[in-house]
Amino acid sequence: MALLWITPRVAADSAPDWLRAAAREKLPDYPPETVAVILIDELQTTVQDNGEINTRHRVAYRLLRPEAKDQYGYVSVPFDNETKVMSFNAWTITADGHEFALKDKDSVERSTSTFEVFTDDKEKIQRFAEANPGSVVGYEYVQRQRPFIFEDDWSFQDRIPLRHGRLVLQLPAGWEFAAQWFNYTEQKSQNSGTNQYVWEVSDVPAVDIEAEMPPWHAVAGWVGLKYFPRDAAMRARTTGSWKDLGLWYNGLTQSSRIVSPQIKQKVSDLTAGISDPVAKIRALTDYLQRQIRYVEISIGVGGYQPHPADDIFSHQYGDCKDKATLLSTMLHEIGIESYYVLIDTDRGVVRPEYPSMRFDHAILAIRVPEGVDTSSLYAVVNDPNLGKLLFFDPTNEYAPLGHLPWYLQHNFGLVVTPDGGELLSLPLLPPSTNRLLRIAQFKLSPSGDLSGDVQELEWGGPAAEEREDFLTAQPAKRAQIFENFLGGSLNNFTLTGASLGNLEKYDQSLSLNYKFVSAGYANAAGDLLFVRPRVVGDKGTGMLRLFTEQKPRKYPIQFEEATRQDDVFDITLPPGYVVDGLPPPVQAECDYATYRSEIKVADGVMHYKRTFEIKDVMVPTEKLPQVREFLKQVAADQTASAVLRRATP
Amino acid sequence: MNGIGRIFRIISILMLVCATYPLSALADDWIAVPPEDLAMKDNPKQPGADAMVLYREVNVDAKNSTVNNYLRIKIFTPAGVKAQSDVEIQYDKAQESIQGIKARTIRPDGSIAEFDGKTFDKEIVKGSGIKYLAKTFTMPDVQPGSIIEYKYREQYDDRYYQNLGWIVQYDLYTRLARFSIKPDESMSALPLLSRAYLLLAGNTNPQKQANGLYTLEIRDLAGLEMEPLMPAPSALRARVDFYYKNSDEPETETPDQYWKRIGKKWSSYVDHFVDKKNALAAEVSQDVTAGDPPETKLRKLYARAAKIRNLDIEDDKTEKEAKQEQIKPNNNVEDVLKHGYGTSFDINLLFLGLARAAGFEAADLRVAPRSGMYFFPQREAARDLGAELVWVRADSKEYYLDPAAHYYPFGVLPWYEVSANGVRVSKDGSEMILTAPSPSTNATIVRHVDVTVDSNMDTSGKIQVDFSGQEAATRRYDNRNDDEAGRKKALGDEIKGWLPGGATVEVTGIANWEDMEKPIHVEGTLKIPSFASTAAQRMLMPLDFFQTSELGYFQSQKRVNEVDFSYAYEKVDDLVIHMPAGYKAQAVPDPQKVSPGPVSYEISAAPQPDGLKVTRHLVINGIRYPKESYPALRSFFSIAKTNDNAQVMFQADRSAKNN
Repeated sequence: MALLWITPRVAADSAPDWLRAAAREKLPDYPPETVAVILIDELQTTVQDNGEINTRHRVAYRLLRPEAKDQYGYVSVPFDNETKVMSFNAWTITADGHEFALKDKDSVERSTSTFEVFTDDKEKIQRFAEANPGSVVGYEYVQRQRPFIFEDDWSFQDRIPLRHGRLVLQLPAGWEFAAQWFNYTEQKSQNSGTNQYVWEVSDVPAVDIEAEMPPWHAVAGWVGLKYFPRDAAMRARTTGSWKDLGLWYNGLTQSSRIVSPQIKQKVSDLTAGISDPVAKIRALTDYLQRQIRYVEISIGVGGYQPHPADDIFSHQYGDCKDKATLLSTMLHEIGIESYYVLIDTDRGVVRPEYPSMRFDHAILAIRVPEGVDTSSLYAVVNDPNLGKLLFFDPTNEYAPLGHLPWYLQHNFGLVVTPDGGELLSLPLLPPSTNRLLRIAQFKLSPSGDLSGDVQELEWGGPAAEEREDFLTAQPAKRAQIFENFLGGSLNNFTLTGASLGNLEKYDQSLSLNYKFVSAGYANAAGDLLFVRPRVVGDKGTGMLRLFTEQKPRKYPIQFEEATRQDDVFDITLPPGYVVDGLPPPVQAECDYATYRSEIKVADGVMHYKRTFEIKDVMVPTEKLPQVREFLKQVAADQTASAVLRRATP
Repeated sequence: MNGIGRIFRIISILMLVCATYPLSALADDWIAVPPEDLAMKDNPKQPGADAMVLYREVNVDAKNSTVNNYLRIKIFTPAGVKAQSDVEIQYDKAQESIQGIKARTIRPDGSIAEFDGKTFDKEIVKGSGIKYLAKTFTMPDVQPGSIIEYKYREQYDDRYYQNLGWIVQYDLYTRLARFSIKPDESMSALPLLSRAYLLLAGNTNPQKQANGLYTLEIRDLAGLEMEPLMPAPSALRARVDFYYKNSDEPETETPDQYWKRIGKKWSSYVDHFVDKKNALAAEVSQDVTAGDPPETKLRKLYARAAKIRNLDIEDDKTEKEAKQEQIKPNNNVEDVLKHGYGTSFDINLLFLGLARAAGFEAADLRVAPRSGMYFFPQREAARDLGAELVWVRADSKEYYLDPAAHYYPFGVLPWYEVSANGVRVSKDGSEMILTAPSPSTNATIVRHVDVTVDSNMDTSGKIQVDFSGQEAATRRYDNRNDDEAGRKKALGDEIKGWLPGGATVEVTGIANWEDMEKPIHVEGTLKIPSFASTAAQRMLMPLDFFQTSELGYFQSQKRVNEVDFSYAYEKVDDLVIHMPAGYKAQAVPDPQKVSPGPVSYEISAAPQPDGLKVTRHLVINGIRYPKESYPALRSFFSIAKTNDNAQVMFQADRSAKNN
């Protein structure tokens, strides 16, 4: 009896009132494919006078379909060395009213590092009990963070509808804020009079997921917040303008580019005997691209701040900002100045109208001295303040000096100078810089077998992509790359020879030569032979697959880069055969691309040539029908066959 | 913890390490690097690699629960630099620690780049009493031509250190590897035994040396080569396991003696579990009638067992869910019937008990699933038999059945249990068995298409697909948590993947989803843009809509591993194509039939008044092919795809056009 008396009562699991209230609400009808609905998403941010920020986030979902268990059956909260999760609770109210509660101790923790050797980014995960159709699940966590910069956001729109959203901001006396709405109609805040501001949204529709849609922050509704402290010194951490951001980052990186004797010596070794300034720059950029291995180790402010140049040099590794740092340091030694450029590898994330540290990559803008010939350097921008800037990405190992990886083109980058930051638009390189020329001689036998000898020359983007494929494959497995390519076009083939030219000479055109035989390439029917003149290579089929949903696409698409690609094929016809019918020439065009193909026959040889050119990369939604129609015409031409007839027995 | 505290803690750990291990283990006693290794440009015995292991050493000390590892790798290419330079050693912090990490890079000129000692603990998962971490670090100044080497010690808590072993085969080609184990020879220690798996010819189970160590030396062992349709990597990787035998087990046994003993033990458990004659008889009397033919009885009992809720195929439960549901263990078949749930093992034993109660001869089977390691009886490893099913004899017919698999119709085993080696247990011990192969008719996809080509060369119409047997079971399992809309989406996406680029598919109905004995029947509509093309007054189109997806696995002309299909299967296509008014089939490819051995393919097309009818039949009736068969298989699928894409020509009827 005594034991019973002192045993504490175990409290039954109990959901909080806010969740119960949310669960009681009658919902409007949603489309049948809706897996769940966000009943409430409330973010309450309290800024302390010392710059510390406390955030309480409450979210509740009603689960409608079994698939919701995979997508909303758990919740994760990110944190790092500067962000502490003070509490983390989760609950379930089942359809029959049972309540389950999870506490912080029930969560598991894991690193969110993937390719990095180490970062301090982690997450806490809670898995809801009974996350079944009909259940309401919810969570609440409180975070305390000490941000390096005073900017924040509230992303309220999801892949499922939101019933009620609420953002509450509490600022200390004398502090100010700026709020900006994206991809959603701006809502006015209500001010309680105590420096507390409240914004509300309701019945926010779901964002439909489409293949190759723009990045999430370019399509879903979110609010960007900036806090302006009363104290002038603390204001330096506020991203009020691009200039401010640049100043902050310049201060953060000031001590990183200090040259050591070893670096000096290396620069001297690499540039010895070179007088041409571009060649000197290239000697250093080649070194950074190929000799300094990409390794990311970032902890705390290390997510923004590069390691010292000397450390990077002695280890011979570093991440993107480290590589930019060491290159900048080395360039300085040959009298070339350069600036960090902060950029996001997803086009559309950086919004010029909203200065923000939404970047995931760092490259370099090299200030080209007056009088230097830049005609072979395509990634150059003439800035009225900074002069001629050559953008270069030392992290991408395959895009040589003068070129830019496709994801950095037609994108915004923040150029960081001692005088502050300037957001510049990086150029879209013209089609002529990203070329593929495929010249082939084929011979067709009377039985339909085809033998081929193909020569490819590639420049710019196509060369970079191909180099990456070959250089990341074991030498013994490079033949498989040719085989996989041929397998995309031929049903039956044997690769009889293959070679590569200039594979590691990045500033020269890459050449590929391959030979093959394809048994039964042309199929026979009586006296006829059907042969597809476009023997190998594909243009645009992958893009055409973006249009395979029944409903029209809602979001824009983008081509990777402007490019010109030519095929020039000669097919020697079998003796005794004449042409009985040819596919018609094609001249297809849309605002973003052109396609021309034609076939001529002379002296027993079928001459097929085509040109595919992409001129612009961003296709808005209203232009998608014309792009689809264009791609259909290209696809039709690619599959078209010529008809040969046996003229002599 | 403040800075001073942190330093104190590090010093403490170092002192502990120094106190526990001889100094030689911590000294930088690297093995000398021969100049020819520095100069090496490629692996002469397997050219074209990114990197190779020059030397590897794994030394296990069973008494002290430590494993000392040493690895020296030669880098040949930039890809080798990327793949080998970042090191991640995963470990369970509750049971072990990683200590004494030393590393260095030897540049091609022989100079040394020392590792600065910075290591990190990355959390793989932490919480609820577990803490899986990964010790990560990166090597300095690695270039093609460099040699990297590192060593570390795994220090286990001796309460947990029971499973000893060597993973002999590394991912890279290994020139030389040495392994040793120092057994615990204290008075209380059990005898240590070993079992080898797929070692090279000449290598056998490690033997005890005069110095008390068991050792193994491996030379020139190729790394595992990943290829499509290869056996499971675990089946191909050479290894040696060490284990202790209980004191009540014989120290040495022949394989026959071992399996006899194990069989008797398992049989005794099975007999005990099903020893509920009254309950089983009552159940049988409800499920079958005396007049039922034997197979009908079996089918009914199979269906009854398959109705039991299988806990093993449900998603893991949260702690709260498990507590709420209060799942109780089943101690016998009566419990299984009473609870209405059980593990796969419980359910199959219930079926075994019901079959016996109905008068059939039935036995428990344990097999090595084909998704894992091969079964070698001489290894004497009962744990290799990871799948359990039931053998039944009815009249003179033998059945291999697994009702616990739930989604499989009577007579169809999950693919990994088909043609699987294992044992049938009985009171007399174990009998080696090989489960019956599954014919291709047990896994079929039948596709009916009725489409019309319009004047824009676009094709649209109806599609019906029937998935049966294995094909139905895998889809039912994969989409078991989906609702109707989810299943429609999944199957629609799959069908779309069979069609040319740009095709759209809408699934309008799915029938028989819940009836495991019937095929899944799918109906829908499809649209294929520009499937046909024009040439003058003609229209050309390939014979079959569906892509021969298998050819994607056979692009390479070289092959290292044998080819394993998960199961034998068939695909049957039946296409009716209506052409625009006035078009007649003028040139139709001849019927084709290819049947080299256990695979066959045939396709034929017949002109119709308004179009064409195409039938196609692909049969893969065999699951394991030696690598020598690879060229023939590649050729077979190439021919199939060539014939699928053979063009049929339609000619516009001039008179019709002129009308």
